[in-house]
Amino acid sequence: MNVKVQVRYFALLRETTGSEGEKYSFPQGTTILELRTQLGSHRPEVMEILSEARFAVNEDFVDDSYVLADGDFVAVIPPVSGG
Amino acid sequence: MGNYFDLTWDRIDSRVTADHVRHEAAGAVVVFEGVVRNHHKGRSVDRLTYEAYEPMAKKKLEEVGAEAIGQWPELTVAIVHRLGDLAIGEAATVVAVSSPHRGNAFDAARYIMDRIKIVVPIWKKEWFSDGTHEWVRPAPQSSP
Repeated sequence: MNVKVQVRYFALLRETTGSEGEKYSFPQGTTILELRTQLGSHRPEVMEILSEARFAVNEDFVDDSYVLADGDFVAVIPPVSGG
Repeated sequence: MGNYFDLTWDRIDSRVTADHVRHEAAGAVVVFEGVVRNHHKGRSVDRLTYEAYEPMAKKKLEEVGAEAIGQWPELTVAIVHRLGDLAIGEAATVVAVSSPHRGNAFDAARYIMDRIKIVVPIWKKEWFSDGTHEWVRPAPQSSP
């Protein structure tokens, strides 16, 4: 049984991928760390951005050990520069 | 009146932001404007574009406000962040805080700005005078 998640890209990541985001299906138990690696192998051009990015699930930052749940909305957050 | 947090595509009037925090027990109102400047690392800048992950950015502004109030309970906080295209001299961020006395108001305004630059998912693109543009990649320790 897989978990389906929606991944959103912003700013530099959105422009480099040419995509607002994608839907993915992963085996149950997949962590953010594994997602980070998967996204990088899927799109090598964003590997460096991904390595610097933080991840948010359902509008809160999570760490690499977070286990994805079905229906999660995952935002990839490159280093922020607001203010 | 009271705490206020917003994202906007329109010009920010800092007097309006400050009015949210004024009240009769507040002897100090500190207003900080983060303003678009015409240079970055020696390069001439024409304008900026700000992009946000909006629902999370709004939530994080509220959390930063709550953190500050947790630290200085008598504080009232208003934070407005601009999005979209900004010209030189326009305010990108306005933070207004009020407190019975000035010390806490100054400290809180600075604390809030420092936190915004770390936890709020907003990104800035610089449009340079030479026609190029790039998303700002903040140094680990940005100029306070």
